[in-house]
Amino acid sequence: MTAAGPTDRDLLRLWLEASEAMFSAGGKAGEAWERSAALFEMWSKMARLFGGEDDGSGPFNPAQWLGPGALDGMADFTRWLEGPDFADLLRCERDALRESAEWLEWMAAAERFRTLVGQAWMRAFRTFLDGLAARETAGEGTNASWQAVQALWTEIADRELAQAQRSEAFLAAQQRLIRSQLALKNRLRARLERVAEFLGLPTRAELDDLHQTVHALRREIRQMKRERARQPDPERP
Amino acid sequence: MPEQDPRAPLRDWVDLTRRMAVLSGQFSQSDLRAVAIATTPKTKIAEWGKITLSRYCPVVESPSLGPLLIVHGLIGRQTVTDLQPDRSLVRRLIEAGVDLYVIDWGNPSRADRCRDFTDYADIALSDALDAIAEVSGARRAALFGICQGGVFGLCHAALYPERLSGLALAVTPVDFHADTQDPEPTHGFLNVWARGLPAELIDGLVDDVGNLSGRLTGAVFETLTPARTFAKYTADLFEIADDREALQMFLRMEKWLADRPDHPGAAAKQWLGDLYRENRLVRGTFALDGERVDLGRIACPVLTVIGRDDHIVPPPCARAVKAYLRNAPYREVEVPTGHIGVFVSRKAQQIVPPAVVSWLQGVA
Repeated sequence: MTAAGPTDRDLLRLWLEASEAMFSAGGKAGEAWERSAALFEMWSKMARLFGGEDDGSGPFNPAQWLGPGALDGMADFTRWLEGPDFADLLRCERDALRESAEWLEWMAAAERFRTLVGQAWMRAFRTFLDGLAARETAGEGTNASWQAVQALWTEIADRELAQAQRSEAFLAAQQRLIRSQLALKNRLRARLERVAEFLGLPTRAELDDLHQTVHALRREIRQMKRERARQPDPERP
Repeated sequence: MPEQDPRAPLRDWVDLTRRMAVLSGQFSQSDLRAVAIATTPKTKIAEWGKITLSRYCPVVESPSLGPLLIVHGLIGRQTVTDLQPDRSLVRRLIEAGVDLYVIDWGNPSRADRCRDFTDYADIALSDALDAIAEVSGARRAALFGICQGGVFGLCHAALYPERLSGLALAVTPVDFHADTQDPEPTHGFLNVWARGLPAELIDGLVDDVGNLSGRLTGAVFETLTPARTFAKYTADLFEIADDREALQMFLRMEKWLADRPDHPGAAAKQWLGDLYRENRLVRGTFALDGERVDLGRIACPVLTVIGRDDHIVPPPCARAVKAYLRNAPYREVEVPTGHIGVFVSRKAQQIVPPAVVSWLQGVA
């Protein structure tokens, strides 16, 4: 240790001492592992009980009360709250209300997506534990090298996650997430455009129009140049 | 039951700790910005806005093969073909006497969001081939298209059958729905994902930022194999901690991966919508500026390089090109690697450059 703090050598020594202590604990470490597996099992049971098996449809899943599906029965109330869709009456207020609904939908979509991804990781972890247990039974046990353990985890996790990513539920949740995010961003963008117009600032839409015009002009110029190059030069004999 | 050495886990742990310490030391001395890739000397011969065309400096007296133009797609960059001197397709080709050119698409911004396949596969390639003809004196050139760059090449060869002397396709998807023929479950998720996206969602995703951002495509690639990505920065690194050369290679790959340009919006909509989603290239309904791309019109020799373990472009998607060629001699090479391994793996260095050289020798 120096006055400036621990050096790399100090950290290495501490790390080695901690490692030795952990391994000298031997059986106790094994017990801790078993306890964590039991905890995982209990957690999984709780999740299944309250959250549903894997479709996220349980009554305790926030996605169920936040999603637009939950608002279906309240459509009349929502319309009443927004008021009549007149051209020049309460437009900003209605937009703000719709913004809130879109924000809620985005939150619900993100929650549903996170649930599915979390479930996939939990399944991967479960399969990984089973794989480790199978090794124990086969006599390879806890002496497996870290490389072997890591390779087992990578293989199992990627396979499990690939399977999850291909499922209808995952693809639908991902699309819902993208759609809700785009809707919210478009709403915010439209509001900013109105502010920019009010202040006389150039808007994103104007710049996009400009780029489109330049692109079309470039093509036209190139085409004209090529056609001109193909025509015989009247100056030449 | 085999006898277990009670001290083995401790030894393992100590070894892992030592590797971590070594890595920490190596990285404290490394600067990713100073890592050099694509160092083979070349000269810029033409420029159109952000797009540049360069010619590699020959290393033999008079190059007898080619000209050959390397065309990468808009996802990633062509520097992958010249990652480091001993793993460089570019170097192997110029050493074999190939007159070699490369096109760089630059860094498209939102101002380029209207650029579509016509701008790349028709206009830019026409301009590049004209410039090569002027510099080399050769009437025609061959094209080496990588991934999406191969699709640009296919479109060009179909629209102008007389213009190319040969077309090599590396890890190029042609039948975007043929992933269903690949039994490996970790292959082809991009195909499943894009096929499932409604057209208006693809348009919305692209219009949101104007382009398909490089950061987004990078994130999508990482999520294809998330545990593998994690292992790359942990177990794989510990494994190569004592191998200075392997560490340098790792840093070069990181440098290449970090350089992900944005994909122009209009072309991205065609790539995801017309090709990935609707599979128009093989259905014969893909069109550039109103002109239909008919793969059966391709008249030059075609070489396809396939990565056997390619999870991004599943082998059946690339191999499918053969079924759509009516007038073109066809050759195929399979490499026992993944998508990028076709260019950077040690095994591929023994297979791909000789295959391209041998094919070029038969190209008029």
